[in-house]
Amino acid sequence: MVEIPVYLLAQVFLWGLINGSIYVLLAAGLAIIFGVMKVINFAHGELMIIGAYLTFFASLYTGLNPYIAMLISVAGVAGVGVIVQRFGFGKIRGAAKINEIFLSIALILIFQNLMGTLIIPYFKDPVLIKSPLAGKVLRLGIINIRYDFITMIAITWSVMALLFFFLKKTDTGRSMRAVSQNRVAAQLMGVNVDRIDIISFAMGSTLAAVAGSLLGLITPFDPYTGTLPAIKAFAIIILGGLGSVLGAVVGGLIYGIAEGFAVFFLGGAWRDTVAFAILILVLLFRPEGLFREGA
Amino acid sequence: MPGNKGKVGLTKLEMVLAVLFVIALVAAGASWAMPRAAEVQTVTETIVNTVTKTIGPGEVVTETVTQTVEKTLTETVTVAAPTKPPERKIRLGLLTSLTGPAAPLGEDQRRAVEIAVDEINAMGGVFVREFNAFLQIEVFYGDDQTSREGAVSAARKLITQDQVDVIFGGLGSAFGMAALPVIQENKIPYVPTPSTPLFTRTEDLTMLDPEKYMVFHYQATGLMYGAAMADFVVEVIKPILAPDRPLRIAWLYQDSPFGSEYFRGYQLRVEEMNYPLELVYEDKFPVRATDFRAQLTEAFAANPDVLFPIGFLGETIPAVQQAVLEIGFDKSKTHIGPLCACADVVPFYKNLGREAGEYTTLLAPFSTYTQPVKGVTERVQEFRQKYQERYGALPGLLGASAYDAVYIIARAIYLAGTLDKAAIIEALEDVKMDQILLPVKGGKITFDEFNEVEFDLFVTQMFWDETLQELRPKVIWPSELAEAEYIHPS
Repeated sequence: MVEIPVYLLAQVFLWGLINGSIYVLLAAGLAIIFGVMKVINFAHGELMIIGAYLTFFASLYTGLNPYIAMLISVAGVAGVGVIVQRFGFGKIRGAAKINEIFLSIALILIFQNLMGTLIIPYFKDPVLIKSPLAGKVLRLGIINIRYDFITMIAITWSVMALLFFFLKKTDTGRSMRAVSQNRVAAQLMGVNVDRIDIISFAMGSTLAAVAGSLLGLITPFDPYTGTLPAIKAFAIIILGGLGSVLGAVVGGLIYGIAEGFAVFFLGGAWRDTVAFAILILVLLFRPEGLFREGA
Repeated sequence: MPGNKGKVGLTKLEMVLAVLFVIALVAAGASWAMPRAAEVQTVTETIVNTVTKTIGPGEVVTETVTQTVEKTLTETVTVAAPTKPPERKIRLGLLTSLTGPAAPLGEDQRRAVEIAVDEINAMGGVFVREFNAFLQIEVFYGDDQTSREGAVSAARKLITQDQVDVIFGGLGSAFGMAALPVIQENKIPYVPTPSTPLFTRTEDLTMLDPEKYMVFHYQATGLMYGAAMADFVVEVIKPILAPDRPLRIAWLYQDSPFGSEYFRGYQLRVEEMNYPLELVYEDKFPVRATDFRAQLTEAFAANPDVLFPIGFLGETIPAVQQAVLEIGFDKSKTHIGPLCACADVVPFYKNLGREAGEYTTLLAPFSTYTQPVKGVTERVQEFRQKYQERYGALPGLLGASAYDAVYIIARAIYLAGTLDKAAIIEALEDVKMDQILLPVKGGKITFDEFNEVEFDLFVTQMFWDETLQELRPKVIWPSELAEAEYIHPS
């Protein structure tokens, strides 16, 4: 049997953790939107890419540090989210699920083509957000880790801590959880569910913007990069328990790490396959996912 | 309260969000729009100027055009002047990606084709005996939308709606192959420019597929590239890194016919030549992958002397950067390359960076910034200059291939003397003409027993240009084409 050095496994675990951080942010955003509104927004990946581009342009043309420029992106994508909610999903809420799916598909095409038309003539190839930490690597013995990755992990978990604080400790957060658990009862208790819908969509979009900005710092992207991550994010929230933010966090990490080890042990062709295989296994033994809704 | 559900007024929070949104859009939009507007204006101006100069009498550029016309006349249409006006045009269908992720490469082909067609039309067109006239060329565009389904629709559109005489071009093997059954069914002459040898060969790649008799493949195939990569590392890298033992090779390639054929070409050559190369790592990655860290970690552990990361530009750049900057590949111990010809475009030189890219190598029959010391230098320079003047950009391999394809088709139509498709197919078999932009074996373009053309591939090495702050290539292999010697980093 071939002996694999521990440092290699540690390095692969680290890559998984980094990818997992992006998944956590993306899936948590989806979990909030689905938890509160029960809508299926496959265009979540495109919101992520809009966020990545806003950070890219803001840092490129204003010279802002991209970690600061990310705030512009967050505000911009939150705005896009509000528009999508008010003039899209908000209008068809309560209609058949197929309507939501087709609205999502329409949004994917609209966003991709809009970005393609506006951006590709000037930036023909995938772009990377230029980080002031680019090329700086922390060498821990034989394990290498870029400072960008450390920053990324720190931002992800800070954002998630803030999110949990917001959901647990603020009135609006509690209202969101109430709507997620029982929309009618929450409404009867005086919660303005339409307002909560808008806030949820804006928050979900905000998390997508952060995910996109962080992704763009470590990986080149183009207008078409968001589709696969969004599909994976859906698989993650199913794995974690539909509508559960905690499930999204745990599911995102499992996915990221499983992908890394699948590639390492089985080869690159298994990257996406193994992640979905885990989903099937979890659903076989725990159909409701890892955590219940509203967790 | 139930009443809350009916009317939705703007709350303070929504107003704050709306204001933030507007600020973000204005900030991002303004910063984005201002510098771009100037660039758009510049490009438009260049195009107008170019057109005026090309068609206007007494302009300096007219000399260049005249020169080109004379040369092309000699090569393609060595006949008397027409005796009656043209009755119809030659209808060529460019099947390529004009929208979708690969659109920039498709745009390169569209531009190069425009130049070729304008050159031929400027000298009167192609003489076709059947009409006893010079016929002008008209190009129709079939956009495969960077998808297989799009390729099928685009091929149908070119055949049924545009009624083209010949289809050519393309960049993604998968898209061209998806369109092939439609083309076969309609028996249209087809000159594809993606790389897979499956365009003309049987599935096992060993012989010409008789059902694909109408296809004449004008691009170096993955098999050719893979073989040349093996030749290069044995000749150049092995004496430096492993003079007394087999050279240790790691392959990381795209999971597609494109990537697999590179690998297969390499394997066949190693077997055929019994090269002392030891494969210590091999894995594939999906198309459009950007995260190679786990695979590179494993490849690194295998301690290779050479790493071949073979993928498209969007895959090559992150793979090389991650290998050097994150995983810790030391270029004095592991040579990275030759990389894929498809990476030889401006963003590669601009974005790869010194630390990751310097001293890596790339294998191609055409280079954006340099050319071999022998062969087609003047014509390439002319084309490059014309392209740059007209579009404010530099052409890539796929553009050059499509440019050549137009001339090859024009030559075949001249030889056929008719626009009958069967006759054009027969004439393509007989084409023998001087190489145009891409260097070919023996300097003559002819289609061999596989309906393929054998190219002279060359390896360039990347060096850092302090003035430009970008990488620039120099041809370093084979020695008869080299402008510099390979430098191994210490």
